[in-house]
Amino acid sequence: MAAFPHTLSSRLLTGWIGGCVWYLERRTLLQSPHKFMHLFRNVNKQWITFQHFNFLKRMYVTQVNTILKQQVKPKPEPVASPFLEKMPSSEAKAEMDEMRSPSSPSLSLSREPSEKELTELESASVIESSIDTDKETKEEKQWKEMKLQLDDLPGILARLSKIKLTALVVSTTSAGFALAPGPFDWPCFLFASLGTGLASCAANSINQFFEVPFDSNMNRTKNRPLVRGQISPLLAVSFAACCAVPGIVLLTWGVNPLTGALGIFNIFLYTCCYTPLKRMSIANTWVGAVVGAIPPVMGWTAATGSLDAGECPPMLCLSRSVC
Amino acid sequence: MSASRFCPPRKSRHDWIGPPDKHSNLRPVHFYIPEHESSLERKLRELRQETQAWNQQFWANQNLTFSKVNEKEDFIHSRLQARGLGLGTESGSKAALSAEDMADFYKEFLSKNFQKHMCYNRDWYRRNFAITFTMGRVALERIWNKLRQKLKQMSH
Repeated sequence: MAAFPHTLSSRLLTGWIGGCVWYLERRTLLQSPHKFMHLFRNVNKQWITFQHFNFLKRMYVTQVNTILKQQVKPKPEPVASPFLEKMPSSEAKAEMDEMRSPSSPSLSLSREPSEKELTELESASVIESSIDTDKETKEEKQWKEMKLQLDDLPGILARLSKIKLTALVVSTTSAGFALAPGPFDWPCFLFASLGTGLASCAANSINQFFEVPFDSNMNRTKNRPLVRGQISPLLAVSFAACCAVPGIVLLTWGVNPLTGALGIFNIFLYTCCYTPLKRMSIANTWVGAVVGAIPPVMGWTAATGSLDAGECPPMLCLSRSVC
Repeated sequence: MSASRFCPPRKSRHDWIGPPDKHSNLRPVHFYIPEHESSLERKLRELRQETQAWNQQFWANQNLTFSKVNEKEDFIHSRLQARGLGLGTESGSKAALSAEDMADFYKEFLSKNFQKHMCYNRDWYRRNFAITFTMGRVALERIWNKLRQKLKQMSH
């Protein structure tokens, strides 16, 4: 029984990695066929060296990073330009300072120097206004159209549903299921895991829907999809509903009603108790602990069909040690 | 501020979202006004614009107040420590002390402004629900109009 989760997880991991690699290769092929053709044409002419595959490496790295939900920053603008921008302004300032100090004694002198000062002033103001327009165009480039891109939708929904956290929740449910007594029932296990995963996606999406202005102000959360406007609140709520309903149905009819009830209760606890309570008092951490403890209990009830009170403390310990 | 200067391209028929505001950290939205905007669509747009302005005002004020009180607290604590503990204290213990004091400061800040925060939360939840519900109604209205047009075309 102890070996079971290990082989299962390693198989899942291998399968997942294989799927990722296949997906990456397909995408690379579709996006840069000319590079591949160039490579194939040169095969007969010379040995293919490691350097030829560098473009693949770069593309793989960026693709893998997007899949792993790390924001690959676009290449930063060359460092010289901000210095160039700063230099004219400092030069202009220096010029203006120099102009101010000799200007007072020169007032009594002839008019010629003042014309020169005027042209210098004009050029300084031109430089400053050009810097302002540069800043404006840079700001304008940061404006994004709020149009739903279907290509990005899977990634956006993954971030909306906090897919990594959901995976952790599903693993605690599997652990609860594996630890329960009785024979290991594969369909029941799969239904329980999938149902819990869907319920977790729904709860996380609603949480993000509620927390948009708070998330904007924190560095950790300011890149969430709703904060960035990649998705509308309506779509977020619809996605949550589309995850919650099948998830709970799967748990209630595919596993047993007790697990379904626990699933609904957990969604309610997380979205309607924990999320608002975060703004009110630190008691929300206790609610959060219960929210984390319920998935292993759900795994247990999925396997056994009932809640044995004696097993709850080990479940809480398990959830705390995993989370 | 920059929202008023930004002008989206003419062909675009969508809203545009900008970089985070430096005071409120919220991203301003430039709303697209379609030619034949229905009354429901107009109501949605006005609701969103009003909520955006209200949110911007609250968070700009909140962040400003917080940073002001933060600076004052830092200043008081550094002065107290300079007087009380002397200048020869370890930087590590100084930092640990100020972290604990900062926790007290945060607690005090939160309890003083509790009512204000509760009101904001309640209003934000109400507005969020209203906007999302109206978005749903607008989406249904658009689907219904498209269906009606298709039926008309089929009958002709």
